[in-house]
Amino acid sequence: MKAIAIGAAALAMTGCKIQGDGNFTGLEYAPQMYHSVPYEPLSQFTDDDIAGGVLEQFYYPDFVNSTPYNDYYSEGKKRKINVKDPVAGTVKRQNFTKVTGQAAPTADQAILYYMEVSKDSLEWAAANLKNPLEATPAVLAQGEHLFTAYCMPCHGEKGDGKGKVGKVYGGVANLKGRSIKKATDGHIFHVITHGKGNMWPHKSQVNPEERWAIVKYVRKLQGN
Amino acid sequence: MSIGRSVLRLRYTLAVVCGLLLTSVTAFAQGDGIPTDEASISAGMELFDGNCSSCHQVHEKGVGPALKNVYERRDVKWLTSFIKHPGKTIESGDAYAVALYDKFKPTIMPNQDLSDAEILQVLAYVKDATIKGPAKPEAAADVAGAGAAAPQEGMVVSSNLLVGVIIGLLVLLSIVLIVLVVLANVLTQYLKQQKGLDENDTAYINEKFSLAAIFKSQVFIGMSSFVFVMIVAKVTIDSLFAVGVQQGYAPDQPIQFSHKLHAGYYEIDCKYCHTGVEKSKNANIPSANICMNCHNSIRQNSPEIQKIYAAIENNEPIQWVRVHNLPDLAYFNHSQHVKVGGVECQTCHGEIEKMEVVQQHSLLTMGWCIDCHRQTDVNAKGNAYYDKMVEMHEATSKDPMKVKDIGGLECAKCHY
Repeated sequence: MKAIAIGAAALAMTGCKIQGDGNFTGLEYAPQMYHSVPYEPLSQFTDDDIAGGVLEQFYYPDFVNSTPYNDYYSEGKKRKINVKDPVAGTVKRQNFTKVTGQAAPTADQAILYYMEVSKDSLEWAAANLKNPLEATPAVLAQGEHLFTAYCMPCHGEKGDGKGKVGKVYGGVANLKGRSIKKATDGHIFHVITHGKGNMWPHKSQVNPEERWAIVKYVRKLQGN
Repeated sequence: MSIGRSVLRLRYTLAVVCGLLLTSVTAFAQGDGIPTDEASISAGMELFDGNCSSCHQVHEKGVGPALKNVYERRDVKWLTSFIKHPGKTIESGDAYAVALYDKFKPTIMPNQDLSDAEILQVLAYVKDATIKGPAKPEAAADVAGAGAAAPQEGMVVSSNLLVGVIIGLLVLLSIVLIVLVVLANVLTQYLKQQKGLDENDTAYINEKFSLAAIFKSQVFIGMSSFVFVMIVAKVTIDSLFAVGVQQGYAPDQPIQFSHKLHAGYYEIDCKYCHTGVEKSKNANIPSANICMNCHNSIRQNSPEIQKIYAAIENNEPIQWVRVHNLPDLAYFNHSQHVKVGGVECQTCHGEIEKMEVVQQHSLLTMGWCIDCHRQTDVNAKGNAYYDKMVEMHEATSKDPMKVKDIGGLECAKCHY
C-alpha cells in the first residue's frame, strides 16, 4: 500500500508542470516575492495575469495593482505597462534656458545640453561647437567601443559605409569621403545628434560626451 | 531554380547588349565628352562612394534623385556647375535646378569640392552603372539564406555522428553478448559429457533458470524498492527545487522580433538597442524610435513592422513581455557586471544571437549567482579603484582576486 501511495505521489509530482516553458513562467511559490510592490521599471504584472489560475487564492487580490506607483492602467486606458510620461510641468534638463532666462545657450553649454540646438542649425553647430575631448588613448578606446556598437552596423568597421545593415538600408555615408574629412567636429556631432539625409537621430542612444568620443574615433579612422 | 536563374541571366545579358548598342549609338551621336575608359570609371566609382553615395544611388531614389541617365537629362557643363555649387545654381533661378529643389526641399545638396576632371570621372562611373543596369538582388538573398542554413547543417551533422557512434557501440556490445552466451553453452555441453564430476559441478550443470524465484527473492525485492524510493526522492526534490525557477520561459512577444536576424546575421551590437546596459541597473527595452532608425525604410510593409508604426501613431508603448525577472528581494545591476566586470551578455543570457524567440537561459537562482562569484576573477586591470585591493589580496594569497574576495558572497551585497 505504502509503495502505491509513494508511486502515486511521484506520478503527481512529475505530471504537474513546474519548469518554465513557452508562455508558462514555471510554477511560482510566494509570487509576492517575485513581483515588485515598489515601482520597478519595465515590469507589467497585473491581476489579469493571475485571474482564474490555480494560484489565484495565494495572491492578495488588491496586491498587484495596489501601489500608486505601478499605475498600469494610466490615462483611463488599459495600458499594461508602467512606462510613464513625466509629471506635468516638468522642465527637460536640456531646456534649461527657460529657467536661466538666456535667449540661447552658449556654445559650451550647448555641448552638454545639445537637444536645445535644433535639427536645422547644422551650420551653426559646424562653426561653433568645439570638441571638448583630446584624442587620448582612453578617449579613442571609448570612441571605438561606441563606434562598434552604434555606427558600425551601417558605416562599417572602417567607416567606409559598407556595414551589413548599411547595405540593406542604403545611402550610408562613407566617413572617409572628402566631404566628411573636411567637415568640422561640430558638424559630425550635430549629425549624430539629429541625423542627416537618410540617417536618423541617435541622441537617445549616445549622450553628448559619448558623441564627442565617437567623433574623435571617426577622425582616427579618417587617418587624421 | 537553376532554370529560372539562367533565364534571368540571359535576360540580363540581353539587356546589357541592348544597352551597349543603344549607348554606343547615343555616345556617337552626342559626343558628351564623358570618358569611357576603365581607369576613369574605377576612379569615378571611388569618388562616388566617398562623396555621393550617402545621398545618391544610380538606380534608386535616395535622399537625392536617382542618377541614372543624368548625363542625358542635363549636359556636362550644367552638371559640373551644379555639383560644385548647387545652392548658387538654385538661387540663380535656373528652372531645372529650382524644380529639383522644390521636389527635394528642404534638403539642398552641399557644395562638392571636386575638380572638373573628377566630376567627369564620377559621370563616367554613373554612365557605366546606368548601362550595366541595377545589380541583381538575388545575390543578397543567397547570402542571407546561406548564413541562416549553415549553422543548422553543422548541428545535424554532429548529432548524426553521435547517433552513429551509439548504434555502433550497441551492435558491438550485442555481438560480445552473443559470443559469451554461445561460449557458456558450449562449455556446459562439454561438462555434461564428462564423467566423474563432483556434486557442485553437477548441481551447476542441472541448474534450472527460474525467473519467478528471482522476483520472489528478498534481495531482489529489497534492491528494487530501494531503487524505487531513490527515484521518487530524486524526482520530488528536483521538482521542488524547480519551483520558482523560470529557466526555459520563452513567452510569445507582441512583435515577432528575431534576435537571430538582428544580433546574429546583421551583427548589431546588443547596446545599439539595449542602451542602458553599460549605464544603469536595467539593460532597457528599446523605445520605438530606436527601431525606426532602420525601419523607417527597411521592410516597411511587413505586418510586424506595421505594429511599430501603429505604436508610434497611437503613442502607446509596445507591450513586450518581460522574460527575465529577478525577485524583488535581490538586487542586480547590469552596468556593474557589463561595464565594470566586463561580463559578456551571453554569459548569463545564452546564445541570444541564435534565438528566434528569447528564452531564459540561466537559472537566476542564488546558487547560480554565487557559483559565478566564486569562480570569476575580478576585472581589475586598468581600473585604479581596485589597485589597493589587489595589492592587499596578493599579500595574503597566490590565487588571482575573485569576486568572492571583495565581498561577492556577502548577503547585503544583493539583499537589502
